[in-house]
Order: sequence, then structure tokens, then C-alpha cells
Amino acid sequence: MAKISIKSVPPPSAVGPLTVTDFVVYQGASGDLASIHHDFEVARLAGYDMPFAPGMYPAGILASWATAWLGARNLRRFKVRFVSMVWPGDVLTCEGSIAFVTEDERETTIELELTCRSQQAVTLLGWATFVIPAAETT
Amino acid sequence: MDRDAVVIGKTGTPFDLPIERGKLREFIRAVGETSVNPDDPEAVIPPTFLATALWWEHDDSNPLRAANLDMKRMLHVEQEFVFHGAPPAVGAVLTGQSRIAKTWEKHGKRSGDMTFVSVTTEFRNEAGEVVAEGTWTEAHISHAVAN
Repeated sequence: MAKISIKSVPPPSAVGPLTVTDFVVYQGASGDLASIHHDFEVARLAGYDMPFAPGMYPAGILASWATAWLGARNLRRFKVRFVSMVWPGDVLTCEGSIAFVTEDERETTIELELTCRSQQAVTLLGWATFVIPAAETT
Repeated sequence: MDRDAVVIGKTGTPFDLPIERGKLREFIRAVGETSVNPDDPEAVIPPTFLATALWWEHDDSNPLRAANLDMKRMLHVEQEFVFHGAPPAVGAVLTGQSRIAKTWEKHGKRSGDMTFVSVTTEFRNEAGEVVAEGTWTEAHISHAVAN
């Protein structure tokens, strides 16, 4: 198992441009089948120009930025606040910073503050807690 | 929304959520998770995977169902997942049960009166231990979201 460098925060990562197909793939995976996320007619009738992403889709993308660094197996808490909608064509830039670290002989606890932005706006704010065994850190 | 139906502590019927390798593979691909290999016999779930409870809940598993929510007036405002130890691994069969955890009111300048509702789902393993919790917070606003 590769060691985790807890001091070097990875650079932001960009995902997209997102398509309605990406939304549908997430919808099938998650079970959120609401038609407003893929049917243009339904979206227009509800007053939108086009379908928008289910909020949990960018939430999953943001979580993936953090787990790519610290590992899903080490995650203990993940929270997101939905700030603005995500649209087809959006490129999401995910990044994070360390808010708090505690260490003892056995493990390191890291709290992250996360942000997901589209070209237009902040779409999500996130918070994550990871607990990493001492043997896995450098 | 029928506010009388929003009773703190009200629970839904329990449902099983088996952590299946195929569903895990599909979800990992959808969100771009790179730290989990679904072929690993000990693969754990990504942080937001328990959202797939939507595939497993029964009609009466959501205790807010009786509140007749108008989805045009509902906004998903926050979501949290907490894991007590490492996240569940492929092959585990979790049992989820949801309860109305909290409700509060707020007056917004632009959005008018808002009612917030948090529903928390406890996920237990085969031994009956709580291994994870998911909390879903919605705002019900007095005008339709689409306006």
C-alpha cells in the first residue's frame, strides 16, 4: 500500500465539461431517477433552461478529490452544503485545505475544508475527516 | 408540505442495503473515485455511496413520506455521512432505518419562510452495530423553487 503524504495537499482537479449523460450515469448508479435531471421538457416546464445535476453527483466528485489523496478506507465523516446548481457544460474544480490535524503514535486525524466551483460560481462547500494509521503516513 | 406529519423521532420501515460489487463498480465510475478498486476483495464504499439507499428503501422507509412533500418547494441543502470506523466493505449487508431528526424554521429575505427538516438514516451491520449514519437536510420554501 502506497504511503500517504499528509503534508502535501494535492493541486485542484478539474472534471468536465459535464454532460447530461454524466448526470444519467450518476442517476442510474445512485437511484435518484428524477426526470428534471435529464429530461429537457420536464426541466423547461419547471422553469429551467435545461436539466441540472442531482446535487449528490458533484458531492461525489468533490469527495473523490479528497479520497484520491487520503483514501476512502480512512474516511470517517463527509459533509456537503449545496450552494448553487451544476449545469451541463460546467467544469468543476475541486480543491481542499487542511483545517486541523491531530496526531498520536497510532494515527493521524485530519479535517479538511473542501470547495467545488464551476466556471460561474461556488457550487458546493464540503468538510471531511480522515483517520490514517501511523504506518500508512509519511 | 403537511407540517403536522413532520414529527421528530418518527421512523420509517427498515430496509436492507447489501454492498454489491457491481453497484460499487458503477458508483465508483460515476463519481470518479480512484482510491477504491472494486475488484479488491476488501473494497470499501466511497464517501457518498450510501446515497444508493434510494434503490433499496421501501415506500414507507422515508418517514417524511406522510408529509406530502412538494418537490418543487424542496431544496436539498446539506448532506452528511459519518462512519464509525472504516467504511463498510463489499459483501456487507447493512440494515438502514430513517428517522426525522430535527426540524426548524427560518425567515429568509429572498426566499420567505423556510422549514428545514433533517432525516437521519442509521446503518447497522449484521451484528446490529451502527456502522454509519447519513443525514439528509431539506429546506421547504414558501414559493416554488422554479420561480
